[in-house]
Amino acid sequence: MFLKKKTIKNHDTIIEELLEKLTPDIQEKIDYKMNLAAKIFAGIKSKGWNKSEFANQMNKNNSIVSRWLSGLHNFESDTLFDIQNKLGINLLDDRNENEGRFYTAPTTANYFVPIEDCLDFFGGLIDLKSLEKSASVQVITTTVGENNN
Amino acid sequence: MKFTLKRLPQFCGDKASFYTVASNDTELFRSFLIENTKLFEAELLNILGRIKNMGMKNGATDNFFRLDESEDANDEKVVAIKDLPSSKLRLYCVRMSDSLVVLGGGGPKPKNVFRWQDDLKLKKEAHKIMSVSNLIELKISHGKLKITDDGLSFQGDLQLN
Repeated sequence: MFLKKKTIKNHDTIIEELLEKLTPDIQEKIDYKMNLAAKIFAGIKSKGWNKSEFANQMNKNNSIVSRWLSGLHNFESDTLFDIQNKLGINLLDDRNENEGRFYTAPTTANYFVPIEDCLDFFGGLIDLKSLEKSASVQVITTTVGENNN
Repeated sequence: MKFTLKRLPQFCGDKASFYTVASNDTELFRSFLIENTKLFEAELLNILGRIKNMGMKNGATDNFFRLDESEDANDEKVVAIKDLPSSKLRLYCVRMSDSLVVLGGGGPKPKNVFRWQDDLKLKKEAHKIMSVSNLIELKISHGKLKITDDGLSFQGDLQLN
């Protein structure tokens, strides 16, 4: 018998009581860090690497990568920049607020390009008016970024 | 006394479900919260927030856990939830998969304690969760306990003894 008998009549609602104290602000901060870690973890897997291989790619110890993936780490922007370049994912959105529309080219790094430039490149193949109906526009292409380099 | 796998609906979502082990008047996870709420409330809130996130958003992927917490090298399912680096709390679990976790108990890990084996309370809680893991494996291997096709629930006889 591995459970010690203990009366908890006064604590029946302990989970609910604590969850009430878990304010949206606290949860949002937790979610932000864990979502970032999940995004990096997914990026590693999509490269076909395991954690050790990714650590080698980044010239870091496994323990540092484990910390990055824990969803607890406070990243420096330089570190996020290096990770996103290595994985070809977007972790840093450096757009100004009035640059709300962009496309992401999945090359070794992600480049944000004003939608007008993107449309110029496609030579009017995209209907701007229909795109503008969308709250945000994300055009993903597999070759554009590489062909332009 | 009967011990049963009990679903914790507060933390269950599309991505993962969480259970604990209950008897008539106590539960491992609830006891953990009660024992630590006075001294470690902020840490507990962080743990609860992380569990909620795993249930609703990201799943219980292994990067969110400390692995290899079991004495049995073959039992990779016994893990601990990672908490803030400054935190002294350990919460032991059985991570069945990315979408199914059984929450056990735990306790504070003093700074001078490197391994849970060196702390009486942690040792006790770690051994409990190892027993839970073994009993679940036994039930599954005997076909008395199953995991549903969506991976989010236990099905069958939820009593562990």
